[in-house]
Amino acid sequence: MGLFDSAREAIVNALRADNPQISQADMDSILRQIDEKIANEPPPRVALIGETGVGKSSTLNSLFNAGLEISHTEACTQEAAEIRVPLGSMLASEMKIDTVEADLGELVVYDMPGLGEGLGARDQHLATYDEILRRVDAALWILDAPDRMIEYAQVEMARLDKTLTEYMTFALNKVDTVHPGETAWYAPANLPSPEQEGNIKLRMADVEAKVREALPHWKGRVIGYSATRRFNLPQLFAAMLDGVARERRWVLAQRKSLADYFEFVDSRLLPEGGELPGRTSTNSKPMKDPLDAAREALGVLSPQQFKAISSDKAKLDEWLAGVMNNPGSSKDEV
Amino acid sequence: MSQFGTMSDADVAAVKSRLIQQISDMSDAEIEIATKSEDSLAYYIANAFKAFAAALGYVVALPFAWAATVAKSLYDGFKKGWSAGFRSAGIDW
Ligand SMILES: Nc1nc2c(ncn2[C@@H]2O[C@H](COP(=O)(O)OP(=O)(O)OP(=O)(O)O)[C@@H](O)[C@H]2O)c(=O)[nH]1
Ligand SMILES: [Mg+2]
Repeated sequence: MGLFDSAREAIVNALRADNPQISQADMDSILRQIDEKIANEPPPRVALIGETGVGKSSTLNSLFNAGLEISHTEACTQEAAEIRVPLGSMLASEMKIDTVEADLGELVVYDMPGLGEGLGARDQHLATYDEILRRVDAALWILDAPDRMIEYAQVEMARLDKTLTEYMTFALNKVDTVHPGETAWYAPANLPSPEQEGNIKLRMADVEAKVREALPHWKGRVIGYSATRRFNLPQLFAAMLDGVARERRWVLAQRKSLADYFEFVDSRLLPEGGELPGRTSTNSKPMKDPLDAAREALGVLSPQQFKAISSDKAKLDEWLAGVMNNPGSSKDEV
Repeated sequence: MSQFGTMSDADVAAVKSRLIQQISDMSDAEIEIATKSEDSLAYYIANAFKAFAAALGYVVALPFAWAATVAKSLYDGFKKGWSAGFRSAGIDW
């Protein structure tokens, strides 16, 4: 049985237990249909907005291990044709739609230039943004942390439909180059120097204030990170996931394959015995507990993290028994 | 002088504690991701279940609350595992 089947089964078992009135034959038919629906769920659609060179491609690689597999496929061309933008619009010709074969599955990526100064046909640009933000599951607006591109772009962003920017993540990349510059980055620990850290905080507060001023309804987050240093990647992923519709979050999370931060940390600085987030262990054994398998299938926790969780076995078993035997009773504890 | 060039032992200790804070922030984010994706899969399957069952004439109960329970038990267990790991490393968590 595959890991995803186990995940599905753990959830379905709870539903089954709560609905004994459904006959076995009907239950089998329902489960078959659910399997089919899951198998046919379209891949996540992600918009990356940002000026050339801010690190859109690097960010995608660091979050999904999208790597060298980027390709312009037939499907992309079709997607592009669906977008109703005036032909000849500058943005339509600059924008790239790729189906990316990432480490853990396909992604549809909308690579969009920023709303920077000096672009002609502003209304056409906005119309395209509107169209695309409506169809994507997640959007990252990537900024070069030391740069100040946002001042102009925020004015344009405010003209978009409110619902489209409500959970926009403002991703401040390249925090390693923030003043006093890349040489200040403390490489052995893969951390900003204290001075850089202070400047990164100031920069984030500045962007946050500006976004809030332009978009008073905004509920998203500003994340300072570095795609190439792999710094703050879980934080960036969590912020992005927050903007995805509830029924589609698992589709994006299934593809999560963060670049390993700890590979860039001197091992002498790491706490011994502490579990490291996102680290996979070569000698870890497959989990037999369906709920552990469920989490693994979602790609959200490493085997080491599972180990940490299942170290509290008594509690997990107690909870598991409660859900499997009588799901209704767990409602009281929430 | 310590094992890290010109850094004093106190500086190395400061870096280590900053690194532990970083690990903690990362793990909080991982927990948030785990919680939200698990809730999402449950929500998706439960809705599909409800729709397919309705087509067969059933009105079904949806134990939505269980997803929130998973999240809580996961979080508690996770934090506990972490603390234990750090304590064994002599770090007061
Ligand atoms: N120092 C530093 N450099 C980075 C970081 N992220 C990306 N870069 C570098 O920035 C350059 C541009 O990165 P890309 O990922 O190609 O940027 P892009 O936004 O996809 O650029 P276009 O495809 O031209 O729009 C590359 O040289 C990257 O190595 C970072 O976090 N820190
Ligand atoms: Mg690129």
